[in-house]
Amino acid sequence: MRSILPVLAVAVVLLTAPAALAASGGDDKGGGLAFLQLHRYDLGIFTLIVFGLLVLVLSKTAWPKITEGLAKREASILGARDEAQKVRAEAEELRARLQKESAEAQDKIRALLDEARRDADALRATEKEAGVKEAQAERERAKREIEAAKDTALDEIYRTAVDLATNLSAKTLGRSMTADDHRKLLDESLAELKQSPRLA
Amino acid sequence: MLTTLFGSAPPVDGGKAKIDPFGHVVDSDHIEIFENLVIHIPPPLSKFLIFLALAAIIVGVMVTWVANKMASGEPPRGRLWNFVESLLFFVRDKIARPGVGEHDGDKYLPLLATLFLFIFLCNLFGMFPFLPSPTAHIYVTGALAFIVFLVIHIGGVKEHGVGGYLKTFIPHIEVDNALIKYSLMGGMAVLEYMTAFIRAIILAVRLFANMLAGHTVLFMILFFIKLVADPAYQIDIAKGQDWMFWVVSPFSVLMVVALSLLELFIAGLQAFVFTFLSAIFIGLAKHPPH
Repeated sequence: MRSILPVLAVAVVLLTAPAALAASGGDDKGGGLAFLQLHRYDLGIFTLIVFGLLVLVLSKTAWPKITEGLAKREASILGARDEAQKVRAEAEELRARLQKESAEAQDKIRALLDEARRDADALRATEKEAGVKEAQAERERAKREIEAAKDTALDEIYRTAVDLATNLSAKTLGRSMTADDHRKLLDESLAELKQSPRLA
Repeated sequence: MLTTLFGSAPPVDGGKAKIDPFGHVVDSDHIEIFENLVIHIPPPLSKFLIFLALAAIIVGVMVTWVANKMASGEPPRGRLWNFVESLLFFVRDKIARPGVGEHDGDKYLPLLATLFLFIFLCNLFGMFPFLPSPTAHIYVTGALAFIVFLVIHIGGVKEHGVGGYLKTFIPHIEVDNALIKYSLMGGMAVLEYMTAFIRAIILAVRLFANMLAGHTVLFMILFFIKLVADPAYQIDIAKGQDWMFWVVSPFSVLMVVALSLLELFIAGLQAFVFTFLSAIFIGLAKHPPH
């Protein structure tokens, strides 16, 4: 409001100035160009004063404020722009970092899956091999047991056969065999039997 | 019947009413609102003096008000603030900077913006019924052009010094014959020195002539109605032909409405042209093309 006062003061001066500038009247008949009112020099002088004062007053009161306000506004806009650019750069950096971390996590997941797959394959192969070995061992064991049972049965058969044969021979020859004879005969029979191609 | 529409009798010169097409456009000590209502202005004031002062007051208050608003650095709010700011930025971005140059444009903005607003408002006054347009006087536009003339050449002298500035008017001509070369340079320098004055005169005459002619044409087209209907002014072929009033009146009114719209545009255009040419002339003085 205070800065409007000089303008109003100037306005009062302007409205009273014509009294000092009073030139000729407006009834002059100057022929064909009378409408131009070329005798009204006061209008030119008044315009110079009015416009000169207006420019002067505005240059002193208004334009510094306009310039200052524009500078403030420019600084504010530039500040907001810089802040926005900074936030944008940070957001882009964050996004890049997240993308990188996401990519790394994906790689890690992929690697873990591959490793798990490899482990599973290895475990499967190991288990399979172990199973085969165990089956093989079981088979071998069964075979051995069968062989042993067969040997035991054959041995029993031979012993029984030798005993029968011995008893038969003793009855036939009329004499009894001693224990040593009996053992010797049995061992010889077993040896012969084992050498026989049918029982090998 | 029609005579009663036009009130009292006009000035008569030798039995015939005198038509003064410039009567309402030129300066006077009264504001005529129809023929029966005249507001007299006490001497030494006159129509133009009052409206010149009024234009200065309005521009001063308006710019000061918006300056106080802008000082805060806040963005503009409200129609008036936006409107005035847009006018100021228009002068800065479309006149001062392109005309004077990016670097010096803002330095001359206070003068150019004040010039634009002042002329625009003076032109606009004439668009209100019964009000005058002070820019329709050659001394008003001449005074404004004189200020611009001073600014142009003071700016040029400040930029180049007196001698340097005077040299900028002398063109460079490449001709083998020295006599022809210097004769041409001298002749063109004289023309260039004359141009320095002619530019200011052109500024003044263009604005004055446009405003005077525009309002005079509007008056004359509207005056056709009186020429056919008012016995004091009636032309011979319209005598006893009352029907002509009903034909001419709508035509005149429609034409005046259309031309008023054009005149409204011209009010802004002439303010722009005056200010823009001023900016260009200042720019040429500070940064001559050769």
